[in-house]
Amino acid sequence: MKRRGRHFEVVVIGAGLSGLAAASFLAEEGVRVGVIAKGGGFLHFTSGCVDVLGRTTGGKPVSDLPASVDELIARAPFHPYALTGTHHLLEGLHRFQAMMTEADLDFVGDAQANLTLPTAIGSTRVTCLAPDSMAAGSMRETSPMLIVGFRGFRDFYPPYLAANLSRRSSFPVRQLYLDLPSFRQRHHLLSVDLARELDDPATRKEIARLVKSNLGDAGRVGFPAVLGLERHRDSVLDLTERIGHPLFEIPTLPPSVPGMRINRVLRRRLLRNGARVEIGFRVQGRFDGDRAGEIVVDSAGGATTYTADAFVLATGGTGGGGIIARQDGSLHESVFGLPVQGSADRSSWYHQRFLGPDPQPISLTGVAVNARLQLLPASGGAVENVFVTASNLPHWDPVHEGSGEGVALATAHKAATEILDLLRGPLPRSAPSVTERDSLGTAAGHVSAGRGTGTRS
Amino acid sequence: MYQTEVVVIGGGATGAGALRDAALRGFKTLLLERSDFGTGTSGRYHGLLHSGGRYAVKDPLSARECIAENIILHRIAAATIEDTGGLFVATPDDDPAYADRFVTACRDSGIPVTEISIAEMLRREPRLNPAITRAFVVPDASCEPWALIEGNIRSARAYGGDAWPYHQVTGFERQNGRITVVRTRDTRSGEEQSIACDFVVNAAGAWAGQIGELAGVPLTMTAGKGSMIVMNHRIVNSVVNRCHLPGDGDILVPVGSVAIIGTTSINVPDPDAFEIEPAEIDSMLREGEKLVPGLAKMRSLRAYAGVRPLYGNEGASAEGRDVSRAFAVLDHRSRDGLGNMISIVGGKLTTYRLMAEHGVDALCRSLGVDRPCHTADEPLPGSENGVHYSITHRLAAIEARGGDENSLVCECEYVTRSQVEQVAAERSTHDLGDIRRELRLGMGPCQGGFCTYRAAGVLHDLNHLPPRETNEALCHFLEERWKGIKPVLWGDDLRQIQLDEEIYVNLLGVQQVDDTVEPAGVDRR
Repeated sequence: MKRRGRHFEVVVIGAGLSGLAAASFLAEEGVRVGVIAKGGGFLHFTSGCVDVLGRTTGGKPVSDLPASVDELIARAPFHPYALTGTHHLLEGLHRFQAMMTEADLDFVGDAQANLTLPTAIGSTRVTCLAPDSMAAGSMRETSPMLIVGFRGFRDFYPPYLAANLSRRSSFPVRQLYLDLPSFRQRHHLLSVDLARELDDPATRKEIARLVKSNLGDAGRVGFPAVLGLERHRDSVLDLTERIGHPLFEIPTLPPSVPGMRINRVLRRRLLRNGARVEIGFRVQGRFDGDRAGEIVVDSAGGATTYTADAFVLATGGTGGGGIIARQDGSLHESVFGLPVQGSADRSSWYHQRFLGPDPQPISLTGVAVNARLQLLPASGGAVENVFVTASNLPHWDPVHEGSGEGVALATAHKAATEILDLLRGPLPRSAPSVTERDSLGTAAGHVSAGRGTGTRS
Repeated sequence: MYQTEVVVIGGGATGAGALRDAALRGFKTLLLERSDFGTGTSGRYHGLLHSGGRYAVKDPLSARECIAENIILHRIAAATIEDTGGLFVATPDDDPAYADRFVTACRDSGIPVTEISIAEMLRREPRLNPAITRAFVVPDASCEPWALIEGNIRSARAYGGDAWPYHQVTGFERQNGRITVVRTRDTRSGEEQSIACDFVVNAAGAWAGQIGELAGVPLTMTAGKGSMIVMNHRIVNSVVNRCHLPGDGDILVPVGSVAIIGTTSINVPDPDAFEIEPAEIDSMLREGEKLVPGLAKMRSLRAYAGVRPLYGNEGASAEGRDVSRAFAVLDHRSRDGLGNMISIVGGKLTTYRLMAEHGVDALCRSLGVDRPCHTADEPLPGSENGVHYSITHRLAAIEARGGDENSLVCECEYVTRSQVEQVAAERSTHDLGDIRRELRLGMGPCQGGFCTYRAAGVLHDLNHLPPRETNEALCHFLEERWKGIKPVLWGDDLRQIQLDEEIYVNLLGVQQVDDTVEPAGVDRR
């Protein structure tokens, strides 16, 4: 039968962090990769930081990151970190950091300890790696803060933030609304609109002048995370120089400008490496015997069939559309239509409280996999050429653990490694930059040391 | 001690109506409500201003009351009513003989009814099932309960009445077979207060039995739970009813930017403690399919339930829909030997004004005075020009002002920053629920995902409350929204709530916001 079609070595379905990262890892090894996704990916909704493990099961902030990851792996043998081991987590973090650095989007931090940063309501959150533009917000520093917002921007409220934050900080937190004449005619400003404005030197000049005259004793200045999109680095350097103090960004409601920056770096890198990225299409997978054979893409010009030797299922779980929960209580994986295990009683999917201490039970559902992250259907053996990542995996909850990006990178790296083994045989490739050890603590020192060794084809 | 002539208990439509009625007749009147106004049954109804068609066959007295009040409310409360018109449609699942009985019964009750062709029905409402066999137009409408209650209270205040929200009645003092003092507690401050009065009107609806107990008069109310589902879209522009004996999931009401399907009918022991069962949701969506094919696959935003204040004559034990929706005024002097209290029981929102009129008539009789009722003649504040509510009124108002400098706080319901500021100031409230009931904040598709944070930020800018109180308002609002979301949590709603969780739990860290000290050693850098 003759069909419109295309062949890749690997097709990655999903354009969130795990999909784009897995595709990048593969493309850099010379694998012909296609990324196809229905939506723009969850990076648009995140903080733009890399959370590895932020909270313990009791909801307390994680202080000793390596020990807490080890403890989690020991306690929860089905957690994605237990499947990947710390090696893939460290490799994933390291390669991510290197890719971002090459694109002038530096990330600070390492796998030894968490950073504590302010949130947009003046609470704090802990994270492992943060964009350089957020580093000066560290709660560990003691210099007084000035929090600056923009009148007319509905997604950031400096007085509310400062009132909460100063209750928990050892330093003063003051706040300031800027009323920029150039924003006055712009109704309904979104973070992305502001970021584009901040790409413009004239706007930065105006902002710097107003901030400078209100600095008082502040030693650092916090802004909503809108300091430039395309010219982010210039924007931060220029504003810092003009104001004369360190600046920091605070993530706020979506769309997430820091997340979009990561998304852009990864997508551009993929294109440079010869990968194909297609966004906006629904796909349906088909099996060929006990392997996945092809996916059918619903595009404007009709259905196109993509064949591949291996597939990465990075479709984002129940939140991202990778797992569909239905009114009748059934759960289905959305690409291959496989049933997903879970309670058929809808009322057992959630707790009575929204803000309770534990994850909503539905968040813990996922697609069953074996230890190699290969898809495991309800009956029969594993599907050898389908690898499942991130939120599609069961037994973890990124929101309550504060582990979304860490699991995304660890599972992306593990999946990419397994796929390379499958395609090329388990031969030595480019040398790993982190030693093969089983504990985050003992290996962690190598993350910083190995910085910058990521391959670039 | 605060002194008044009349104390009305209950801040739903009936209580607010009684407050206004008594105030207009010259009584110094005070209304006490344990929570915010319209948080009991009135605020949890489907939004349907009945023509009476729904009761025409089975309950002609209710039907006649409905059509008379429908006409009056169109005149006095136009701004709270969207004049959508209504349809009764016979689906292939309905008894074909019922339609003719329906027409006859409507005519007997004085309800204008006109049959239209199926083609005309589909022209008006293209989403309706093309297999429907007959369609009748009646003067049903969509009514905003909070605006109606607020209008009654504002009108009463203009005549010297007053209404206190968040004031729970905790007891009565009786002397010589009369109530002399009503005791109340401010549920926000905890402050207790005694109110000296001449007469008490119990308009506590499904909670009237509890008030009766405090006053020492036995009063058996039945709480008839009715559940409803809010659909993501305004699926229909007119009220649509199945043309059959009332059942589950057979009413579809356009309300603002959404549509509501209702209802169910299950008696519950406690009007304050009930859950929405998954089976109720499934049954309503299944029945809804018969009106609008594909409805069950559309996105449901949330479910909610109210309790009907059913009053069967004591001793009778009729269930749910078999209890008359007519109302009764009980004079506790003749009934229980308590000289100066009446209870208004049963009924429905459409007939709230008539219930209030009969109640205050009884009060006048009891006090031996003759003062006529004026509530049917004088329009409510805001409704003087007789212009009905229209879904585009917010846009029109902004256009009339030549644009709005203010940012949108809630995109779903088109609520601007200045509106939030205005309501918060007028009502001196920092409860986001109070603001929601005035502005529909958080009642659209995202169910508060984005606007909760924004509204909290705006409130804080405005009031400079201690941050703990703003945090509490934010968390409380999220939990209140959650209650209605979880019964319909599948498909896109589930995805939405996971995004909301990411925002509030992960990105904003609301669960940690009141920890005032960082745990030692978290950040070892």
